[in-house]
Amino acid sequence: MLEIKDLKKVYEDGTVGVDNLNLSVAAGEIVVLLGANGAGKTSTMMLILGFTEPSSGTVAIHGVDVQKNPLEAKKHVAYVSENVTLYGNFTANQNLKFFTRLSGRTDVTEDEYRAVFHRVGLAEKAYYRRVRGFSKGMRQRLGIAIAILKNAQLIVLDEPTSGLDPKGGYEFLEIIRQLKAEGKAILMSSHDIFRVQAIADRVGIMRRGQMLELIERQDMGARDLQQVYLDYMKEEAAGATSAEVG
Amino acid sequence: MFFALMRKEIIAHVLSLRFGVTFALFLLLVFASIYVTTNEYRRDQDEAFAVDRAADADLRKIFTEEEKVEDRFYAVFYHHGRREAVPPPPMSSLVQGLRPAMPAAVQITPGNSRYVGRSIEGNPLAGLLPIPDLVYVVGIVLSLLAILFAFDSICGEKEAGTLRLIMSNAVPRDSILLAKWAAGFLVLLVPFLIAVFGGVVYTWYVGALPTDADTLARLGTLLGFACLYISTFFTLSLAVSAVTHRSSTSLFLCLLIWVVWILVIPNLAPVVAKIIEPGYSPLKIAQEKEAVYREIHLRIQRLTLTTGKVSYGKGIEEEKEKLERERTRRLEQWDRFQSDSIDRQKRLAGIFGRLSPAACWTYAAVAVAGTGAESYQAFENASKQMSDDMRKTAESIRPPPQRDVRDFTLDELPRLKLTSVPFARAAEPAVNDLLILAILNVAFFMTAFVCFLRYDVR
Repeated sequence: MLEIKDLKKVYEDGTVGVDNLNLSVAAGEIVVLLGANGAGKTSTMMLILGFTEPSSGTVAIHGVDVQKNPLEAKKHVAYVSENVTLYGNFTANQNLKFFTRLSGRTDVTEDEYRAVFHRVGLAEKAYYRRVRGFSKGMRQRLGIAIAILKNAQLIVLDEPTSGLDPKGGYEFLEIIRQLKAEGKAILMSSHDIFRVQAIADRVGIMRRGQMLELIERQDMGARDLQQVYLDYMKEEAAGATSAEVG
Repeated sequence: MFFALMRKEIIAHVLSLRFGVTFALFLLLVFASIYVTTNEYRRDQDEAFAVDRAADADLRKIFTEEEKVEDRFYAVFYHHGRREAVPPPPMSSLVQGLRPAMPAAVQITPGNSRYVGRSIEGNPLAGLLPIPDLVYVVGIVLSLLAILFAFDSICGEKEAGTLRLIMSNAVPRDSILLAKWAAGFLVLLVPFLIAVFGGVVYTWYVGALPTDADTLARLGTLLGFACLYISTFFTLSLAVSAVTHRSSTSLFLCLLIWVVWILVIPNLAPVVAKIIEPGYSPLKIAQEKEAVYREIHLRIQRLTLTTGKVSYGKGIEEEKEKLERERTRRLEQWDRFQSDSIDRQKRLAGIFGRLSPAACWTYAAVAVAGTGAESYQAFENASKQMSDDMRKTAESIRPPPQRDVRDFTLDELPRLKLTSVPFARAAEPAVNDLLILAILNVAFFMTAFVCFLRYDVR
């Protein structure tokens, strides 16, 4: 579903955002990108969504090259950001309808809107409420409802559970699990190792734009994911210190 | 997709607080300005009728009181003259233009015309703080509101994070931009047109605006210009919002441009024109003309009063006529010098002023409404023509060099033939302003388009 080949992004100020990244996400698979701030997780997602142009390499969604045919590629991807910010003056219903129409779907019935709204765990009374009064958790749920209604094969989530309470985070991951069961390809980034371990089929550890290791689900049991991650982070800290001394 | 975007933009605008405030402001300001200028127009119209009635009564009184034809002739043509009211131009109920600068009446004698002010009892503060007419409201307030509507169109959505969500869909950027422009402009325009419509209906209802085709054409063109002018500021703000990444930066830049365009350039243009083309002040010209009068008068005196005795004869008369012709020629030279200098100043001020869309709007609006420099010139020409006609009529009643005066009636006295400049001719100078505003609109939209194509939505 998602094919990233030799992807590299160097920003105008010389910062390397993504460095020779190779990654694929298949249908019905959850791949989680793990890494500290500035590791290149969000940069990778921005490249997948075509928000920035890569310095080299390619990204293909459903076989469509994002750079060559961005509009066609975007039909197959839905995006949920860390802080889902919708139109505060609009009701949840208005936001849902607007973004669904924008995704090109005009055949969605009112019942379907409501069904998805309830599916993500939002109460009926919130359907006609203005989003301005929604909590972060409610907005995240509405964001995933928009992604579901788009019916895209690939869903990209940028740290979707950050800032959510444990219950909210757990419920959110349950929704993602259901989407996986429906055959959606899911790429998400996170800092939360425990939740990652519970949900991911593969975990990619990123540092300075590079994919250091891609750990398969079957290996996660044998290895302590937290320890692996911390070891990489220690290496980075040591590298940074020696560079400063040098 | 375009309509989904446009619908969203319209709903977002309509639900926002600024729309409510804008709508209320439009209704209040536009309607209030039309109401005030309409009442001013009606007052001037009533005053004009009163002046005409009083002037006719005065003339009739002279005819009754002066029994001798010769006395009547001198009283009518040289002592009293004919006083004519200067009625306000028909469209001045909406666009005042130069109407406040025009006299309420003009007192005409053969070869001379004297302007009579609007009212000596007038409140001097009215001159200090002029009445805000439709041109003022559109030029100052609406341009500012257009900026407030669009300054955060793109950068505001980026800051809010919604732009990323929109752009994660298969939406062409040009559709987003076009929808933002069309919806925002529509939402801005509808309250304006409603307010103007209400104001115009009131003006028609009280009979302060003719309902002929010419007025309708002027009104339609005026509204078209207003829309184009508002669109200039709206599109400018859209372009600035596509260049910047913060709403505060965008607002600051837009306000800076607004201040330069609205307050600095139009006010500095006449000053700069005067620096480049100083000319002489009217007082200096009057002094020079007075000097010519005195000089020729002395030369005539010297001619006729030689060695303390009055000289007569054909030769002397010819020489006197020659000197009078010289006086006329030299006075005309000074008049021409003054009018040429003013023309050059006007041209230069027009060129500099047109660097600002506000000046373009004002020039175009007063030209189309027939209340600008053209109409003032038409009034001056009419009073000059009437003065000449008075001279000719006086000569026909007392043909020179005979001194016999024939009897005459009031109907023989010429009237002020104040004709309004036809719409087609009045709109001619506005074509340049139309082009400038259209070019600015296209340029700003192209800037917004090019910048938004490369806009970093992250």
